[in-house]
Amino acid sequence: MSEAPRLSLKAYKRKLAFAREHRRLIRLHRYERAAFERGFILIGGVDEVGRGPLAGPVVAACVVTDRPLMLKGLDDSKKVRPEQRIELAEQIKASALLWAIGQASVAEIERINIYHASILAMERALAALLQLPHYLLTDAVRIRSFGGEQLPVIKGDAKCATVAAASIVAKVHRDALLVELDRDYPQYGFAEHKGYATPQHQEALSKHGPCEHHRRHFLRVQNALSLFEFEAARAAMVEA
Amino acid sequence: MSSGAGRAGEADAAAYLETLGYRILKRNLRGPGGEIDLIAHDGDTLVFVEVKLRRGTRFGSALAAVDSRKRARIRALAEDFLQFLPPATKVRFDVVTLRQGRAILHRGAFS
Repeated sequence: MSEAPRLSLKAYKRKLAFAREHRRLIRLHRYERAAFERGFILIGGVDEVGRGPLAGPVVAACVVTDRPLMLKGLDDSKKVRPEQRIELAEQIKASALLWAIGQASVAEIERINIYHASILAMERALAALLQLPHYLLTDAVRIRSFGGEQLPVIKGDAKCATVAAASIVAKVHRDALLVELDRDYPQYGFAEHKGYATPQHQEALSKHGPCEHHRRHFLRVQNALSLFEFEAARAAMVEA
Repeated sequence: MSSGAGRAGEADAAAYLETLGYRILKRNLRGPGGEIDLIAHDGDTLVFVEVKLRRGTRFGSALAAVDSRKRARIRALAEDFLQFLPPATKVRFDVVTLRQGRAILHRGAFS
């Protein structure tokens, strides 16, 4: 009998890592698999990004698939590095059956509040699909206008492959949008912080005031704005 | 649609389409046997838009509300309209559903 082929330590470790990642991805599909086993064919995941930032729209994505998305590194968009996120978004768009993006504008966020605007963005993503999924997984929200069966999963973006995929597609799309906004309004640094409340952003807000893309009713925009108004008033008094 | 709420809804829908880059050409094209709510340009495509006001309904029913009779009417009217345009014009039929002032676009809802 011949000896079993020996693996080098490096190759062995690589094999172990691959198996571990494979098992993780299988676990990440537990909700999708449960739905598939109940007979649903098209499984969708929907998620939104940009609820927290002080500026820019809220962006949602929906990813629909009829088979597991075995993409290395697929995870909640917050846990994936930006470069890998861009690459993963491309892989998701290529391997998912359908995907679509929806957004709600700053004006809509101000009119109907951020929670409803994020649902509106998700509804738009669903409406933009060529075909609705039979079963929808969401990150802890119920989309009332969706007629099929849905399951809100708490921390869905970390527990469901399709929701994680949707969060990555939405995140990459929104980041690209804010890089574009940065060209029109370079003074805020949108390209770096993507509208989130970093010290740099808050400082720019109190220096330049808000632009059309800022969510004016957000408390921290208000705070920065009152500082801005205070500074302007002080400057006017000094000049007078 | 000719009620006050319908008109306001059409204005909301038109405003939303404009944010998406549509250019509104005509509102309420009336013809024999029907009306087209909005006609717009989306890039190089001419889009006929039906605006549907809905109250707390689901996707399925929102789109189903544009039934085959209504679709046929819109198609017939669109054909009349197209006679005045170059024959190669690209055409699409969209539906905008409005629920509590929230517009959702269904691109290419029927053909």
